[in-house]
Amino acid sequence: MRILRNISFGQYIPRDSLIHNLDPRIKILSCLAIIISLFLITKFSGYLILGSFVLISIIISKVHPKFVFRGLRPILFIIIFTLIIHLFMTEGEVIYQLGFLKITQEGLVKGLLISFRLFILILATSLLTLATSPISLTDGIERLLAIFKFTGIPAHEIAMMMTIALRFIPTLLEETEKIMKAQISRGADFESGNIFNRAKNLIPILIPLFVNAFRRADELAIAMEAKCYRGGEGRTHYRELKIKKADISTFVSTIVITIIVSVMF
Amino acid sequence: MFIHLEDMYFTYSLGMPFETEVLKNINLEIDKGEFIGLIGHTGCGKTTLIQHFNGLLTPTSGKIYVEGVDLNKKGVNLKLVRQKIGLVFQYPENQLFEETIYQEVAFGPKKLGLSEEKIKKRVREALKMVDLDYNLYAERSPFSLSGGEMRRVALASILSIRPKMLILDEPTANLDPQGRDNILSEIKKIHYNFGMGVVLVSHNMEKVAETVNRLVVMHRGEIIMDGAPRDIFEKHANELIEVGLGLPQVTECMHKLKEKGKDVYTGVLTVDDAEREMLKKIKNK
Repeated sequence: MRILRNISFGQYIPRDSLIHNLDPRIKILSCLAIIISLFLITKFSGYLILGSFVLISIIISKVHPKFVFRGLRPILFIIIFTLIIHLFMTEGEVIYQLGFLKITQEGLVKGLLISFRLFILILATSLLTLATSPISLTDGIERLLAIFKFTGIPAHEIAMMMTIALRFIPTLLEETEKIMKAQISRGADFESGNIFNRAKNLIPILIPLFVNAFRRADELAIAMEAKCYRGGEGRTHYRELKIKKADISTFVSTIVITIIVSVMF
Repeated sequence: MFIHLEDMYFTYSLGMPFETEVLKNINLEIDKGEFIGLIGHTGCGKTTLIQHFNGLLTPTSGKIYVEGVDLNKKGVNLKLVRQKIGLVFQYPENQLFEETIYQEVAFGPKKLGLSEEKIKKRVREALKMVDLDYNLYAERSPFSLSGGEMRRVALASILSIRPKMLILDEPTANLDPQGRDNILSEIKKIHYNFGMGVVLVSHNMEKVAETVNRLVVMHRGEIIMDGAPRDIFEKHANELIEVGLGLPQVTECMHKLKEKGKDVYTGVLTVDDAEREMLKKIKNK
């Protein structure tokens, strides 16, 4: 049950800050620019500059760094795993040897570079979701996807599906916890046994969860139809997105920094 | 003493931005075989409190003892505690998952490692306790039942563990008046015929007050009243109205009569009670 409480990904923390008040499109595009440049950088100094840029953004956002770094926890394993793979599997100048395992200079450099890359990647995307409410995030995605409308991408429908999915993540988590507690009260055990038994023990959670999810989806569809929902055509928005001065200056500075670090480092 | 809570506090999401103190300074003693109504507004901490009784939640500070065993001590066998205290969640029909009602009710006893024969006996007994005919229902799918029947199956699936105390969270929520009366009378039967202790959690005074022997009233995470329903309605009526819980309609009626200068006893629970009380007054005149 404790696992469910610690999921911070996708959790929005409301604050009044420059980052929070930015246009979601600007935030998404800036985040995208940072991600692209992360894969172009080949030197530590580049990561240092980009990393400090992200860290400064975190400070400006007024979101406690604790929450941002909490997003790292689930992928810490992946970072360590890739680091170890790179350490031992790269050919090159041997700097340390233990039996048949050898650590190479090239491996160390490559492993650390990739770790930094993943590290900054998660920080930037966590900040995006922590400082942008789900509604404005999907709004931004919808507007950005609308550019590709001529290719036949159903921008509104995709955004609506995302909104609904995001909306129900906390509901489903809450419900999972409730069902788990109820089944534990009935004598179920989720914490002991081997992996096959544990998988089998999940059935009392999964079946009620699915039954309820389908029922809820059905009810939601009827409710939407009752409110005359008929897709994105001719639909107006309560919150109109407008580009402000702060948006332009943030976007320009992000683009300039990311281009400089990608080209020069 | 069966359950004993001592200076218990509980805070949700400790250290998170949405940290909230849900339970404050809870001191409560529950004896074996009591019939208790736990009343309070939605969100006053009732559900959180009962989840402490069988170790689903751990208090932020304070102690919980069940039959003298400290639940928060390391190495306590919580499974054993959960056998003694059967917790029926709100909308328990949402937890059904087996193919047949038999398997559903047998889930708990199976987890206890009982023999096939004993399990069968317990399933029969549990279904009988909730007034469902074994021969008619055992092989049906729980998903083919009506809402009220599903709830009774869910109740039976807890009863088959044979707990010493049954805790029910809003057992009558979302049922029509008939379904509500059926469930309540079954709970009464379980209490009086089998001597099982019952804690009935509800936000609604009306039906609960006349059913139970002791009322525990919660408000904003604290226990503000604890006693026999009649005493509470007689002495603390104004406080109850102040916190917005109100009184059962007949009780309120008697209080109004008293306000008008009639010297009547205000601790009545049912219409019959009120009738008797009024007749007594009229005869005495």
